[in-house]
Amino acid sequence: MLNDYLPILIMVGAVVGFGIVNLVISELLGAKRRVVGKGQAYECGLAPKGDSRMRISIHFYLVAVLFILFDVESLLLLPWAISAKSLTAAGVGGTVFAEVTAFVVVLGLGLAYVWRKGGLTWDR
Amino acid sequence: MTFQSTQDAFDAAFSTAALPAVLPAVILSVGALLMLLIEIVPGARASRPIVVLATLVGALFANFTQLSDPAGPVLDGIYASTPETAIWGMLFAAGALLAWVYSIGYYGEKARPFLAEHDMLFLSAPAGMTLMVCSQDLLMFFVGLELLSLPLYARAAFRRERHDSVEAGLKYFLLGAFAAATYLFGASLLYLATGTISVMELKMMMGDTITTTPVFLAGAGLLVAGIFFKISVFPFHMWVPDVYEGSPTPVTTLMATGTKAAAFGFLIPISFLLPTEATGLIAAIALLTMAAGNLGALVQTNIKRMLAYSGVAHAGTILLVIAGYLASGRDDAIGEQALHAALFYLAAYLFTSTGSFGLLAMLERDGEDLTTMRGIRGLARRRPAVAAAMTLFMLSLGGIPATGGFFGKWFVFTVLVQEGMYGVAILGALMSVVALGYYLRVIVNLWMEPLDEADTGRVAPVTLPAGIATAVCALGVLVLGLMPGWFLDLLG
Repeated sequence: MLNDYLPILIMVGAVVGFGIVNLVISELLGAKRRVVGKGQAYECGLAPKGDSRMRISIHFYLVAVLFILFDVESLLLLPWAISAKSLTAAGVGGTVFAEVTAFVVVLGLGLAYVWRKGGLTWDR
Repeated sequence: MTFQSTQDAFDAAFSTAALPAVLPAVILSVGALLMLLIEIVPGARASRPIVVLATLVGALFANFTQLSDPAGPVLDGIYASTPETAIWGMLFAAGALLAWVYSIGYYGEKARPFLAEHDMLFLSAPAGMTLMVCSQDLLMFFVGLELLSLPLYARAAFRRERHDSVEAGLKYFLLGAFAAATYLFGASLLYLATGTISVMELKMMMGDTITTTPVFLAGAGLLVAGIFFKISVFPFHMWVPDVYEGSPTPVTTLMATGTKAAAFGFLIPISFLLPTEATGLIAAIALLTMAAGNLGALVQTNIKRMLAYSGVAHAGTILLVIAGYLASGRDDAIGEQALHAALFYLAAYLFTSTGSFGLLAMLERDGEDLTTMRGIRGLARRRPAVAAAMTLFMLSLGGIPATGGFFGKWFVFTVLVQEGMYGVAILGALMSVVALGYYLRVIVNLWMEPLDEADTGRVAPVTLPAGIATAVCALGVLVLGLMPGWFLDLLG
């Protein structure tokens, strides 16, 4: 039974090995020009020091909300897409299709509203 | 449940009987979506009031048809339409309609471009409330709760140029999110203990040893605590005064009446989850809530804040029926009686509270001062009709006979007395006497104080919509107070 886990062990070994090998190779072969910026902690492109209460454009928030909205929409559409054939075979495909359409229309209306209100315009 | 085929599963979940049952919620949701459409279709803005009125009247009528011929449990038993839910639904639609009428002309220049959004959020609240009382499933209730709460958070902060309004929105949102998490945690513990989230299946399990396990009890406790937040019961009432005072008054109106009614509409039917040993605890919480609300209200000078504390006290009074139900050993007949008592109480409270908050909304249009005890001094001389209506609402809140508030209290205390909880009933009645202290203070200020000469030029005019809404509220209070049997007949 333990043999079943062998691929995982190999995977773990490969992952750890890859990391170590990269570190060692870049240490041995890489150029070493030390500047201040390189010594700082890496923080996703932001300056790691300073006030954490900086202003972030509200647009990021709007885009994130829209992304989640349509992400969830696709999540809910997938189960229907998978079972569409069996629903049709059971003779209820049309009704379920109408329901899914209503769902998409509601979300589409929301998108139209955001669009029309200028929520998708970046430069304002 | 297991099904032989997809067709069977489909037939169980969907039937034509489900359509009239869900129609009120569907009408309200479609109305809310139409508001968005109106906002983006050029030239359609003028039809905004028509859509709101048509939606709310449509929902009222759709609920009314369910009254005589309720569909019962539909959609695989996650949604139920009964005479009680039909009346709740009618109350929600009527309450939203009245609150909306009071909002006409309330908002200043800065909020006016967003009135379609305001109305869209206004319509989704009664949709959420309807889902809450009709749900027979812990998750379905949560969907309704969020459909109600999220728009309310946004609307509490609707006057965004005002500091207190934004504070109200943020406070309500953070605490509301916390309460939602508590509710969900409770629901998941119940699922862990029993393997179901269906209210009907949970009810069938009562009496099993499973329902006395710590996991089940912790789940039931957390679930109920989450709802306690929404009905502002001690010790979850701290947010109420700030949020009610900071929100725009028409929004406060709906918040105070509809949210409370919808949460009670679900809480009382599911209070069987609580063990009978919790009787004393619930009674103590209810009495403490009444004490916190009444004592807090006594010292207020701002009437809006006073009404917020008074709302807390009323929630405590209604909570007493659950104590009575638990004391009866969770007897179904007493449970129904408790639900009807709360239904009557909240119907009376809806008209009373909507009327009094609505009058405040009308009065404060020209200046905030007028909603303080000082600001309404001698108002009877300038606006006798407004003062008379306000007096009626105050008397009803205080539970004086011939008003709806009296019979509300009467039915609640009847449940207690039937179960032999004389001590609790006497304490509750004494609390109501304390409450009269601050309601009468409003009446004294209206009628017996001299007119404040500095304020005379600033008394807001009575607008036609607000006048009609006030008349409807006053009529509701009087009809419930003089002919309570008529309302009880609706329930059969």
